[in-house]
Parts: sequence; C-alpha cells; structure tokens
Amino acid sequence: MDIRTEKLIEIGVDVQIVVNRLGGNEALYLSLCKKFLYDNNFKLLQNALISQNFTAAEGFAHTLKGIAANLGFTSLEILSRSLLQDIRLQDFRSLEYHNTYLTEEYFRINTVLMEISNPEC
Amino acid sequence: MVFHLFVGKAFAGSISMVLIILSLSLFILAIYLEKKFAKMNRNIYYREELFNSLCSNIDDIFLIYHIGNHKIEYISPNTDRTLGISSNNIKKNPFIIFNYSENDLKTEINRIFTKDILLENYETECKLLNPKTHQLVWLILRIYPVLDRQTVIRYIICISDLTKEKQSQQILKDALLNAQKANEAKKEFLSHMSHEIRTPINTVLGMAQIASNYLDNKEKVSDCLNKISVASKNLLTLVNNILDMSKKDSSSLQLTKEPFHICEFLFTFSSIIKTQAELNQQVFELTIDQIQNDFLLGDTLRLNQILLNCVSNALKFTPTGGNIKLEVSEIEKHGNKALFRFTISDNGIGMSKEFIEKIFIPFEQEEFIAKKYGGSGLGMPITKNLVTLMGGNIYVTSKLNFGTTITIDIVFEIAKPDTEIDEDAKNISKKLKYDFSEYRILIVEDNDINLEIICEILKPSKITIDTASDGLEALEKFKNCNASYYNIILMDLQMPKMNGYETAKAIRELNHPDSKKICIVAMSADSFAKEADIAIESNINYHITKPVETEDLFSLLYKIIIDPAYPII
Repeated sequence: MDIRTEKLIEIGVDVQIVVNRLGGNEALYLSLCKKFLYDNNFKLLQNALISQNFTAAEGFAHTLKGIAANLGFTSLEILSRSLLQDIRLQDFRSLEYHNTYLTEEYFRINTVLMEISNPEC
Repeated sequence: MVFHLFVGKAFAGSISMVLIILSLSLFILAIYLEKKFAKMNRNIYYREELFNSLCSNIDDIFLIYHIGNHKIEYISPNTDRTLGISSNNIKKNPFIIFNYSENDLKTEINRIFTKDILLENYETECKLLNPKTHQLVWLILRIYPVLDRQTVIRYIICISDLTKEKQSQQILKDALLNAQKANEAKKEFLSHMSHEIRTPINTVLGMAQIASNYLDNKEKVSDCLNKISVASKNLLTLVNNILDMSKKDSSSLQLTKEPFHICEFLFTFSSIIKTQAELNQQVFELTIDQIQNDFLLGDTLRLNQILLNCVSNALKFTPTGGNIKLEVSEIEKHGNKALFRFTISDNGIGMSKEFIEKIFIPFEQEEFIAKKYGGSGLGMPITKNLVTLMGGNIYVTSKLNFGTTITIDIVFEIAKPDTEIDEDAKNISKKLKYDFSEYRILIVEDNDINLEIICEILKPSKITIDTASDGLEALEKFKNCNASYYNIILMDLQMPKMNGYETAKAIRELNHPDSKKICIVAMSADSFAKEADIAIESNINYHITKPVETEDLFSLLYKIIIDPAYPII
C-alpha cells in the first residue's frame, strides 16, 4: 500500500472501500483525492451560509456530502449530512455546531491531502 | 201621574240601556282580555318551548330550586341524556344527583340547601358516576342565589360537563411528564453513553500508546493490536445500535426478503456462539425440533441480529460453567407461511420483576448491571423493534439468580422450491461479467470527481460512455442524437442551472423517438425514500444512492438493458 494512502487511513478515511470500488486502482484514488483540494463546494457552502442563502447552501452541502461519500471521507460525509438536515429544518443553532466540526474536519483532511500531494512525499 | 209614569218608564229604559251597553262593553272587554291572555299564554308557552328546546339540545343542565318550598321549580329536560338520571326523578328528589357523586359533595350540598343558605355565587368541581353508562364524568356545579327583598328565595343551578377538558388536561400532563422523562432519560443516556463511547476510545488510544513504546516487543504489540481490535468492534456495535434506534424512530428501517435455509443459518450461527461460549467456559447448545419447512424467505441479517442480541446477553449474564440454550421449532403452518419459535434460555443472574417490565424501554438497565457490565441498554429495545417489524412477538421470563428465558415467535413465508438464493444469482452475475460493449450511456454529472469515479466504475463493463456536465448540455445532446443512440441516461439530481428532475421532465417532453422510452436512472447522495419517490414521479425510472456500489449499478444496468427479469441485488 502506498505510504500516501496510509496517511489517509491514519486520519480515518475509508480508503479500502473506495479503492475496491475503483477496481483496486489506488493511483486513481490518490489522484481523485488530489482533485478534492481544488473542489469548491466547501468554500461555496461557507459563502452561502454567510450570506444566508440557504437554498444554495443546501445544494453545496448535498454535493459535498456526495463527494465525501465517494472518496471515503466518512466523518466529512456524516457532518455534511447533519448540516444538510440542519439547513432543511432551519435549525440554526445545530447548524452552527455542525458547521464548526465540518470545517475542522475539512481542514484536517485538506492538510493531509496537501501533504500527500507534495511531490517530495 | 201620567207624567210620573212616563218619567219612570223613561228612566227605567235609560237604566236598561246603560246596563245593556255596560254588559256589551264588559262582554267585549272579556273577549278582548281573553284573546289578549290567550296570546300572552301562547307567547309564554312558545318561549317556554324555546327554552326547553335550548336546554334539551345543549349539554348544560339548568335547575331552579325554591328554598322555601324545597322544590324544583324548573329542570331542563336533558338530564337523562347528560347525567343518566331522568328529570322526573330529580323533581321528586332534588338531591338524587349527588347520590352518584362523592360523599363530601353530598354533605356540602345538603348544608348549602338546608342550613347555610348562600348569599354569593358558588362553584365547585365534582365527579359523578353516570348510572346508565357507568362512566365517570367530571362536572362543574354553579349555584346562583336569587334575592327578593334581600332574602334568598331561589337557587339557579347550572351543571356543565368538564370531562373533555379534564381529559385534555390529563393528556397534556401526561405528555409533559413523558417529555420530562424522555429528557431525563436522554440526559442519563448521554452521560452514560459518553462513558460507553469514551471507554473503548481510551482503550484504543492507550493501547496505541503502549504499542508505540514497545515497538521491538512483537508479543506486546500483538496484544495491544488485539485489544484495539476488540475495543473498536465494541464501539462499532454501540454506534450501530444507536443508529438502529434512530432508524426505527425515523421509520427508515426496512427488511429484505431473501431465500435461505434456516437449519444452515442456525448451524452457522451456533458455531460462532459455541466458540465464544467455550472461551467463557460456558456450555452452549442448539436444539432444532420439528422443522418441516427449511427453505424460507426472510431477512437473515436482522434475524441474526435478533438472536445475537439475545444470546450475547445470555453469554454476558451467565457465570462461568453456566448453560445457554437456543431451541428452534416450527410451531404451525398456514398456507404458505410458517410460525417459528426461538427460545433462548440461560441459568444466569436473571432479572427482577420490576426490570422485566422495563426491559424493552431504551436506555433502561438494572443499576447494578450498568455499573458492573456496562452496555447501552439498547439491545433489547432494538430486538423488540426488529421482531415487531417481522410481524412477530417476544416474551421474557426471568427470576433473579435463576436465569432468563426469551421466547420469540416469527412468521416466515415458505420459499418455493425453485427460488434462487442470492449466492447463486451473484455467481451467475459474476459469470456474465457484465459485458455492455454494445451499449451507450449518457452520464450527467456536474462534479468532476464524481464523474471520474462513475466512469472508472463503468470501465470494466466496456459500455460506451458519453458525458454532460449539466442538465442543459444533456438535453442538447439527447435532442440532437439519433433514435436508439443512448440506451440509458445516468443523471445526478443535484445540479446547477437545471437539476435532474427538471432535465428528466424536459427530456420526456421532447419530440424525439426515444423521449418517452429512454431509461433515466437518477443518482443522489440522499438515500431517503422520499427523494426516490419524487424521482420516480418526475419521469425518472430508477433511483440509485451515492456512493454508487459497482455491483448495484451493474445489476441495475443489466436489468434495464438486457433482462428486465433479472433481480437487482
């Protein structure tokens, strides 16, 4: 197993299930993870929440949830799902709570992705 | 003399005239007065009728009681309907109403009506047993004293039925109490769960730390890894239990119906339990009795969960050297269904009577159990939910220090002999290798990562892939293509500009030979049935949840493109 994949496993990413889904193509999985660094949905979600455009926020949270599920970022997926629920139910207290943890998780994953995307890694 | 006679006769004539006129006047007056009184009587009678009609049709009761005569002067005609006591009986004995109420009220009413005459309005609530319906009703009794020259001569009594209000109040009180209890239970659960969750996490962290300190000691590291594995599994079970409980609340727990051999299932189950029992130095025994119908349809995953919950408790609460038994029998058969009984018994620590009553309530545990054995208190509530979902029943009997017996009855449908089991269908699918090389799919997905994953998943099937990054592009491509160019459209639901629902609707409305018949499969990260229902209503044929599993997608495509009779796995 690639050392970069191991770093993802260490932070709780469900690597194996996604690699299996991709027919064992670990290299493809890593390249998709790198692509996630350039995905805008988290940024767009935060902007939508700040400007209180909850319809747009719902769409971005939904997309983020889907991508997280596709890449095995289980915690991010669960937090996105909770946030989506909060937006739909207009539970703003819970929304703030979940968004804080979602942001933490997003940056935690991104930090590792940036590390493994470094050519020296 | 003649003059006097004339005058006399004239006077007499006048008097007669006057008398005649007077009589006539009196006669006319009498007729007039009679008519007037008759009219007044009719008006009074009419008003009385109106009042009686009012009183008959409302539920409030009115009485007028003369204090001097001790008699009821008026009673509304609805007492029979509302109190179950006829107005005639009440007229004869005004206090008969209070024979059906509490003794305290009877004494109080006697006092008010005979000794301590009220000078102010009086009001009290009381309960009364309706002698006709034998139902307890709540009443409010209001007494208004009527004064005549500063002396109370009458009481006007109004009796109203408060039963519905009291019942509503009781419901609200109960709801409040339940909410308070639920809140308490949640608080307890959270404090209990935080401990339950932290314990295995601490184990994982602790063991990982120890392992890192003994990297050269293979045995130590191996021991740490085993403990990490056990703690992680415990944590996963706990989380799964919590999720199952929330699924039950959100009604998204669904059963599958797959063919299986119950004896084979039980032998496999038993072999796993036996291993665990041997480690605990306990004896586990499986008895299968009188099973006529071995090939059934059911959810083996959930059946496994039900039996595992019960047997795990038996293993947990039976001391070393103890016995645990699982007995399975076919009780009866009706048509194509058979009733099976599963009995799990042990000679362990047992449960108190009080606890058996609460065993299926989430988070409830005997105090000493929680302290000594831990656990979430969710196992049995989940088990009951699953048994109920399967149309079955569960009973528990137990005695402290003697042991526990759990009896579960479940009805299964008997599978037809030619029904194929999943394993066979899966093997067939593997043999087929899903060769879609002669077919073309249009994938509509706005996100690059998701698109790349789907394309990669589909690659082994050799299907020709065309893509569109949004609904508008998809619509354009479909509009401009020849008939039968695309065999299937795989479309994301959440897209900007034109979402999946709108795109599907637009495709169906196109003047294209395939617009009505092209199969559209929606993809969405929402797994709720609601979105699937909306998808199907919006001209979408199938719905698949992200992340898309290879086997799910391939078997669906096979069903759509090649063989509609193919079962979706």
